[in-house]
Amino acid sequence: MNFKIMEKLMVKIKKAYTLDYTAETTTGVDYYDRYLPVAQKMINSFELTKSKD
Amino acid sequence: MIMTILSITSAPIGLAQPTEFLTYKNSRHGVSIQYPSDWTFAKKNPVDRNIIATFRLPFEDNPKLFHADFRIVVEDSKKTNLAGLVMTRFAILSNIICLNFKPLESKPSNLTGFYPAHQLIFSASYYNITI
Repeated sequence: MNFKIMEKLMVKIKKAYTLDYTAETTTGVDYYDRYLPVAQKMINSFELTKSKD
Repeated sequence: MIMTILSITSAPIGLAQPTEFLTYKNSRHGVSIQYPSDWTFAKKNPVDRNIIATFRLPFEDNPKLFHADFRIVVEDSKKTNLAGLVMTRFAILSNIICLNFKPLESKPSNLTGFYPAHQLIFSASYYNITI
């Protein structure tokens, strides 16, 4: 299968955060573009809260 | 690990959009995110414990395959700067995880509105999502 991937990388206080959006591009439908607005909404909603670690 | 589904919010944002988003919150790692209510959710990965949550739109006839997948990865990092993390990630992607790794975009970005971040976009003919 073929994939298109977007990763957002961030470092904060010795922790690395990666948000990874992957979509397959094999089946003739561009699922990457189709669901990119969903992924963007997820990325935009991502928040750091108080950690127990 | 404490995980709670906090709320349901309406989000009519296009044809491929679900009508509802749920909120996933992980108090151990201190993260929260909204995800489509019609995507599957798994809070653990049996291979990579750094993957704390996976949200997925699976094939209708084969739940092991997916059309779209979104993961949150949190790991302790000896890298204290973003540039070092990005360089390491590039090396891992091109040499270990992907076949036919083809970078399409690499640029500064941000997360949560203001934290400096880096955005990579790439294609691959195989992608080991457990690494």
